[in-house]
Amino acid sequence: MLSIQNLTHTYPNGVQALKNVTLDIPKGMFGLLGPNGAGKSSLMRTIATLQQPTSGSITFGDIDVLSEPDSIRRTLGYLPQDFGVYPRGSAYELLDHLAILKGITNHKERKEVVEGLLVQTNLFDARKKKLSTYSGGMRQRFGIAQALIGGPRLIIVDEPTAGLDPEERNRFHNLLAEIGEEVVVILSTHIVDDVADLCPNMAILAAGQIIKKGTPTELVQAIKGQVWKKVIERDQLDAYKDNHNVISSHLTMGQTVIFVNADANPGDGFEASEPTLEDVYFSAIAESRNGHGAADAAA
Amino acid sequence: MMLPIAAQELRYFLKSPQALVSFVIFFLLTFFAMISPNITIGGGGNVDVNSPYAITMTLLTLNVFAVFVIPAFMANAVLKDFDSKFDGILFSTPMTKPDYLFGRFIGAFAAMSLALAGAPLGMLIGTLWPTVDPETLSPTNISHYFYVYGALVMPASLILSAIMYAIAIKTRSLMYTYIAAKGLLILYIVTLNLLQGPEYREINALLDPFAFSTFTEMTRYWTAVERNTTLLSYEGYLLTNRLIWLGVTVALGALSYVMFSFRTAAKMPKEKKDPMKAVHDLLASQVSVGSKGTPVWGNRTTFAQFWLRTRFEVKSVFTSLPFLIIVKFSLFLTITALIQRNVGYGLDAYPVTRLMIDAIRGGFGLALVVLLIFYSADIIWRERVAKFNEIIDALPTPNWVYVVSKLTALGLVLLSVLVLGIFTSITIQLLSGYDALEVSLYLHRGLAHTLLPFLLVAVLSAFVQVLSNNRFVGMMIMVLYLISTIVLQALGFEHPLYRFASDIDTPMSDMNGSGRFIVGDYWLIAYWTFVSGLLLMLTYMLWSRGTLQPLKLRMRNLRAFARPLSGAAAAILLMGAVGTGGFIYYNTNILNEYITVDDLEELQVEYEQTYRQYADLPMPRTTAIKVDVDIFPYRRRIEVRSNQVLQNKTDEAISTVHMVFPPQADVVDVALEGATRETFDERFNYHIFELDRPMLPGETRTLGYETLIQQQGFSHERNSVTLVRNGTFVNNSEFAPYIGFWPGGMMADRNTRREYGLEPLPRTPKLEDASQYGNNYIRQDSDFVTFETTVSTVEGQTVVAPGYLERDWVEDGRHYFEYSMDAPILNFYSYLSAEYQVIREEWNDLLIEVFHHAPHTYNTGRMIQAVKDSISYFNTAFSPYQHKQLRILEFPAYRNFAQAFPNTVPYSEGIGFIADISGEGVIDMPYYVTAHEVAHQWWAHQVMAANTQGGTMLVETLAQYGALLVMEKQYGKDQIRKFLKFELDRYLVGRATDPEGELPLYRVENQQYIHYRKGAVIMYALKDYLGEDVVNRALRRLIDLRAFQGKPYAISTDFIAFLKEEAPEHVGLIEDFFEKITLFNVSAGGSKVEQLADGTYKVTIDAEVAKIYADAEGNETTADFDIPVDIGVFSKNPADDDFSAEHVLYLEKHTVTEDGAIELIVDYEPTHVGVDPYNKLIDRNSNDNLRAVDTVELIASAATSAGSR
Repeated sequence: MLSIQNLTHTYPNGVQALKNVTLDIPKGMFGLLGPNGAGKSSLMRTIATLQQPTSGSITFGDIDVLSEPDSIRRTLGYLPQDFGVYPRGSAYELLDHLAILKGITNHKERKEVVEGLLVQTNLFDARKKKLSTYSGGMRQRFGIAQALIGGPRLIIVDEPTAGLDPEERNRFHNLLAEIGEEVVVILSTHIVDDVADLCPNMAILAAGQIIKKGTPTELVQAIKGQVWKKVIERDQLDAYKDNHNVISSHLTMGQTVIFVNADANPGDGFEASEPTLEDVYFSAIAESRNGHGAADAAA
Repeated sequence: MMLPIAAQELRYFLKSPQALVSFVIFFLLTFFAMISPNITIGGGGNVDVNSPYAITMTLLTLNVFAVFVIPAFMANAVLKDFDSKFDGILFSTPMTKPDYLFGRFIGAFAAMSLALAGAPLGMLIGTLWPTVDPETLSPTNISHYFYVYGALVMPASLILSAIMYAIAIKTRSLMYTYIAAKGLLILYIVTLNLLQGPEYREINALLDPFAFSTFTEMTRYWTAVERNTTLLSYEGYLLTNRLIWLGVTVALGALSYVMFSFRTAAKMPKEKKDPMKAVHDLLASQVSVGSKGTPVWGNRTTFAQFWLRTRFEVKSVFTSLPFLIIVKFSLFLTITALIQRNVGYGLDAYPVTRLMIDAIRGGFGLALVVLLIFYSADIIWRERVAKFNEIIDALPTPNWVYVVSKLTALGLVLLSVLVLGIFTSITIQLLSGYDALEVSLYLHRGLAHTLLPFLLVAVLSAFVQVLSNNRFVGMMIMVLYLISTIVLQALGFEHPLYRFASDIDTPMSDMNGSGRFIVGDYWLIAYWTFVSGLLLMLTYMLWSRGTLQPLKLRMRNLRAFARPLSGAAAAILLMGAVGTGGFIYYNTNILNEYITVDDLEELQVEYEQTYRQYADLPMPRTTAIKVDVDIFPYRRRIEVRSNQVLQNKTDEAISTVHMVFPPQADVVDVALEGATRETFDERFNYHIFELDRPMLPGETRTLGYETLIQQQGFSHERNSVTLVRNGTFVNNSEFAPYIGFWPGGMMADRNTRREYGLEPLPRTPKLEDASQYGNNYIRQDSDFVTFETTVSTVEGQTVVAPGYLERDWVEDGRHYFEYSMDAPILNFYSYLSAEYQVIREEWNDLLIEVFHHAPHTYNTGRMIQAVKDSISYFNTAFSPYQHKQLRILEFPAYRNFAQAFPNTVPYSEGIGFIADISGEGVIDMPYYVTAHEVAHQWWAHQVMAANTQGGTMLVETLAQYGALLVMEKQYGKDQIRKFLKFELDRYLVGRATDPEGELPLYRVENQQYIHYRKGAVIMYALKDYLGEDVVNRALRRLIDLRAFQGKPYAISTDFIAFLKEEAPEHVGLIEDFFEKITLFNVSAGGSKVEQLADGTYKVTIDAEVAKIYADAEGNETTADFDIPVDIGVFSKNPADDDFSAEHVLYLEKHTVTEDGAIELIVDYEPTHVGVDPYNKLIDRNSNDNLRAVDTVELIASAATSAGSR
């Protein structure tokens, strides 16, 4: 549905934000996972017509996103990573304003849409309050409400759950889940659980490159039998890192647990661990850091 | 801790764009000002362009522009932590508040000072540029730049920085800081404009934060020598001013300190328990969830979006606090401007609509420009500042909707400000009892014509903001644009087709409205509107959506031009621009010649190089003139057919006759009896005739010519203000030939001549040059001539020329008038044609007429009274009036002067007809001007001066004398004192800025500040010292000797000789007054009053007196004070409005001895004493002549009865 071909973007200061990204995104929720600074927002902005790439192409259905930005905008819902609001104006007023800009010019229809979205996002009670007084969670819900106006077929939500408390995050996940399967929803996040909870398809982006893509199940399946864990003393961590391919380390009740990636049991007290999406993510990142990522993505 | 913070701040700023951009701009400004021969700030004439005066003037002027830069440093210094949300970390460090606040300030101020140091550096390097004329340079002295920058400029920017810093701390908003900066700037400039009168000088000097007025006030009367050598030192006004502002700065620093806190009250948004929750839930339950709406696309949607955005933007501006502040503020300025309609000598004009519109444009004009620059930036960056841009930018609304709605909103805001100004203006008119409201004029000139250019600038500003992608850079570019509108023309780039939003002068007049001037201007507006349309398209195509990206990437968006609608729109705009541009070009370059000031200069040089060789050839002179003139006011065309008689008045035979027609005249035909035209040089309208048979001494020939002057279409500059529909006013120098080489065609300015390698041209031949005694100074190709004329104009208009109306008739829709003169006149005549109302009064065989524009009846009575008073007084004091008629003729305010032709006085509507003289004790300007012009019937039209130095003394100074006498008789000595105070000030300012140096009165070279201003002061003092009868006797002898005589004409020494003969005891004084540049310095040093036993008062006055002689450059030598001086004792301050003769206890002339002590006795208790209390002498400090009595020793018993007066 959404097809990204050889997308490259270099900032004027020489930083390469995206390197030859190629990605096909089907309908439904698509998770784009990556650490901070991986280029997720650059990619999201580029798809949302807010940034011109240095080269490459993006098509959505038969729309060429880069040359017909107005066409894609007509069917786009975008929730930016970090946004403010006009200093004056209530949620209702601003949604109404945005609805007109999204082409809902019929007054009655617009009222219906705006009120419906306010109820759906549980902001109806606060609809007359100034947006500038909203809490972070309310503001994110407002953000998704505005993105949904006009029934877009492409929805981009960029790091929507960052900074939300678990309750708000849960509420937000439910909202996203309701959007439906007939539209393309790209959820960019650095939180593995977001993807794990919501996305049938995903890709991992690191240092401007796609280093893994597929369904979460496939990806987890792929590393089955390769993840091993061990409880160690904290001061031994560096030594283990030198000798093993450590993909992550956690603290569990004050003890350090390390996970390593290996084709066979490294011995030395390691035991097999049932892989999770998190392991996929960390091993991919670790590979990318070690310089294997590019080859992998190219394959 | 403070210093490391300051150092770190300094490093931060030195790497920031604002430091570099500011430095470059300030450097370039002064650099180009220095190397451009057309721009001089402070220098010029005898004052060198790098003199201390010029350095100070330049740097202080630029420092006012620094207000645009200061917020970028000051607000940034304190706001960056909040904006980047770094405040939480920073303020929890052990750093102390003073370290932070003052460290940041010091660092930012140091960085800014380095950036602004571009100005002195640019100036200094400019002086080293090879093209700068070394004659205009003093030796380079770097310490001057250091002193001016360090001691004068930096303290001023420190004050402003402290203000901005305090505002930034208080508001925590960059925008408010900018708004405050702008407000201060407008307040400053407008205050300076409004408080221009001499009475405000002291207060301006004391309170000007930039010390600019302080500088101008302290150096007001400085001569060239002082300006070239002296730096302004810390004393007097400057010291007081700086101490006041130092206090303000310290107070603001303290205030900033108190206002600032590391702890900000956390604004935690709270989700309160909603008492209405049940209601909301009920309402919510009725809402059907799920519909996301069906977008509809098309023109209706786009228009709905446009309208929504426009309303939104307008509302955002209207409800923003800065806007309200700006409006209130501008309103205050406008009201002040509307109330002050100064027309000279402290008088205001009646609130006629055109002046009110000028006031609105003046009061709001600057405010609107600055508002535009700031608000356009603000409005364009609104979404980005609110961080809402990513949502807005991803919406399916076309770019143009955002851009055009923002600009429309800006236009509506400007419109509302102007409408407010107009309502205020009408209210003021009604309150002043002026009910001839001209609503259509308000709507046209006040609204439409004022607003349109601003809209064009708004588009440019938006374009620049979008192109530069940086708010500060965009604003600085607009500031450069602003400056360019002032200097481009001066640099020789005059064509309106490449100066953005250029205009053509469109002066207003009550008689002739906007005339045809406005037509050309509207073509320019149309042209720039098309260009702006294209800019607008570029603006919205290049509009940054989302991330700010380099122009290169955004250029891809220009492919939108390929779309049919955009392409068609662009094509139409382009065709419109080309079409209107072409029509403008046709008018400025084909119908009219496109001549820049530089071209004009080159032509003048060529004229001089080609023809000056003929300057001394003997030429015949005009003796009789018959001329037929047809005026076509609606076609702006005048046709002239004339026969004039030339006579060989020389004593040799003449075989060639040269003549020069005015540059703007087309010569249709010219024929000289018995001669053939050998040469005709079209560029200079120069004709040379070879005579078939030489003209013998005394012989006459007839010269016939036909000329045509007209204004076709419009030209970029110098559109004719003489050829207009209602109020044509031409004189013969615009259509009649000058016989021989015309000296007026040569370049006069000494510095410009040097640029072209020409020797200086004497302004006037030397007083001793006897070869000029037979030439008058108006024109040297004729003496007194006989004159008759028939002139026609359209029916409905009256046309007036010198002479008496013999008959008039109407034929073929044209009105003919035949005038003839009964006595010979100077070859100097005029025609005025307009729809006149006439007021006639017959008085003692004299017909007095005022031809005026119908509504202008306010002062016609005063004018007639002035004619009567003048003629009756001059008839006895000087000689009988030579004509039986005197006519005053109003002409449009495109020009502001009055001029005396034989029995005819053209008089601009701008200077006397609408002056409001109803106030108590005001100077009656219409009366004064009329008396002056009537006096010219004697001093010009009876006694004409020779073409030598001192010529204008006999004409203008004596006319001033005549006017003073008549005014004194009508209004008394106090009025004269008020009047002369204006004249003295204008003389002292004039002498300081004379490009070629001052001359004594009897050698005046047509220098207005000498022959009018000093002349008035001197003649009044002369009359006071010698007595009116004595002066008049000398004048009568001059008339007897020289009236109506061309061979020789009068010279200034003729008059001085008579004066010395009539008053032999005052020879020294006469020489001081006329033959030397003499300055007096008198003051009342101190005084003591003692009551005597008999109830009278003994007054002791310490008179301080000095006399100084100055040379042309202002070098001074002290001389003995050897003339008596007025000593006065008063029971009321003579400066008070209700002061009158009864308050004068004593007024006599005294000779002041070495110790200066003067003792005298008066009958009543004095309050004031004075040495030359009425300012009769030329004195640079005329305020210390009067003094309140210091101590009074009363005799106890008499104390109660004293002081009753």
